[in-house]
Order: sequence, then C-alpha cells, then structure tokens
Amino acid sequence: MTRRVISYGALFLLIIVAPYWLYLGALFVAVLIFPLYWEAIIFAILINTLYSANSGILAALTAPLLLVTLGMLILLLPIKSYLRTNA
Amino acid sequence: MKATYLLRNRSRQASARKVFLLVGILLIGVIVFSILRGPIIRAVSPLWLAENVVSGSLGKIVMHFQSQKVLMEKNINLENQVISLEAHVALLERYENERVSLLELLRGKGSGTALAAGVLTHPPQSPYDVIVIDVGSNQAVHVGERVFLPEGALIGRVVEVLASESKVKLFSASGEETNAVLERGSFPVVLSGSGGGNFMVKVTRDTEVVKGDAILSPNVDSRLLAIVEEVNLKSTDSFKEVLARSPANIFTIRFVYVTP
Repeated sequence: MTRRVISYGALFLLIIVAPYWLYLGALFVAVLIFPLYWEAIIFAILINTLYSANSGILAALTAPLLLVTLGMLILLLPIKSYLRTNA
Repeated sequence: MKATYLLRNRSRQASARKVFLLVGILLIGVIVFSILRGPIIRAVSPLWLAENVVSGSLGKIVMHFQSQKVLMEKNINLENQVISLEAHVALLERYENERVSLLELLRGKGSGTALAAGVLTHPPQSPYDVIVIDVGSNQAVHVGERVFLPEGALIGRVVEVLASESKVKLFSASGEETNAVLERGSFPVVLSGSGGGNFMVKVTRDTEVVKGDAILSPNVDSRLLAIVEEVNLKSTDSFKEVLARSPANIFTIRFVYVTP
C-alpha cells in the first residue's frame, strides 16, 4: 500500500516536470507492477487535461492515451489472474 | 506450485465487475476533469513556473563544472556566430522596415499590437505539439488568435482560453493541416503536421523545391511557417514528398507573441 501511495506522488511529479516518454513509461510500468492499478486512468485523464488541445467530454473519451490505458488494464486482468493461478 | 485438485470455475462475474469498475472510473473521471479543467491548470501553473526556474538554474550549475577549455572554445565559436548573425540581422531589419511600411499601406495603421506571453510548458513535456502560455481571457486573448515567435515566424493558433492561461496548438501537431505557399514559385501547398516540429508536404513531380526553401503563410504578411529539410522522389512517383521543419525549436520555446 505504501509503495502504491509513493507511486502517486512520483507519477504526479514526473507528469509535471519530466518529458512525456518518461512519465508515460513510468505509468505503464506501474500498471504492470501493481494489481488493478485503476489510478492509471486518473493519471491518463490528468495528462490529457494538462497537455491536450482537445477540450470537451467526447474528445476526452476518444483520446488515444485513455483508450490505450483502459485497454491495457482490461487485457492484464486475465493475464495476471492466469499467472497467479499457475505460478 | 501447480494445483493437483480440480479447480473451481473461475468467476466471470468478478472479471466483468472489474471491467465495469474501470469503465465507470473512466467516465466519472473524464466528466470531473472536464468540469475542473480550468482550476487544475491554474493550480499546476506555479509548479511549471518553478520547474522552468529550477531547470534554468541547474543548467548554469552544470556549466560551472565544465572544463575551462571547453567553455573557452564554446565562447569563441559563439562570438563568431554572433558577429555573422549581427550582419545578417542588420540586412533583415532593412527589409523588415520596408515590409512594415508596405503592409501599413495595404491594411492601414493600427491593426493591433502583439501581446507577449511566457511559455509554461512545451514539448517534450507535452506528448502533443501543444504549448501552454501564461496569458488568457484576463489579458483579452481569444480562441483562434495567431501565435508568433519573437523573430516573426508563425507557429500556431490559440485553441483553448482559460482565465490566465491558454493552450496553443502548433501547426506541426500530428494531423494538423495548414494552407501555405511555397516561396519558390508561389505554389499553394497544404502543410501536414507530423509532430515534433516537423511537416510533410506533397507537391507534383514538376514543382521545383530544394532544401532550404521557405514555406510561408498565404495571407498578406507572408509569415515563415516552415523550412524545407528534405525532398524525396522515387522514379515511379508522380508526387514529391517534401519534409520540412518548423523554424522554431519547439523544445526550447520560452516566449511567444499573440496577435488577433
């Protein structure tokens, strides 16, 4: 739990100061490491809000970053479950 | 450890619940962040300003530890560059004065003054070719206004205006299409943004274009939009692919001008 909370602060700081390839990479690593890292969706929405030129709810819902993050989380559900069962 | 007993059927409902939870978080998050867009950017702006100050200071500290010889060589090279650029600027100033006089004749005086703005964030911090500037509706900025470099090159348009900040979409943003004119021959072209300050233009095989040619805006003041970097042509193609770059180094922009 502590590591998860530390990841929130680290990711937020990276989003503000670091280049995009660093914070996006860190975000996807966090999604892989932590179980059901739903906070990744919040961070993806934050990145979209801060840096994207497309405003509006519909534009945000179809933003590639959000869809990729959601897709990654959903895809990892059965994979992580399989790994846990058969480890 | 491999299981040796019969496994219970995995509950599909648990997986479906998790998927619905994630989609629900997405929908609620998007709605909340859309409503709180302005306050979030306003809250983060001081952090961006602090980061710009700190990174500038860190750069100076790093330079302090570079060897004296390296610094001396850099100094000599930069001095030589300054001398040659000063001569070039003197020539350009003469042409600029002529251009301004001609524009005033065409459009009449008092066509509006430019508003200077500091850049809060730029690529590569932003994954898109979008910059955030520190002027907004409080400084009478409106959506659609053009944004220039201090040197005069046109780089983008204001796409979103908040109270004290605005977002500028650069013409080089991926998927962005801009009408332009090739300086050599005054051919109208369409600049397609490729991201990262790069453009792609398709022209017919017969169109004369070489590296270093300027691509200008189509309106009366003909601002510089891009500079041709490479021309690709295969023997079987009927079109030339022209790769151009923005005149601005979008990774280090610090100040821009906004005009109506």
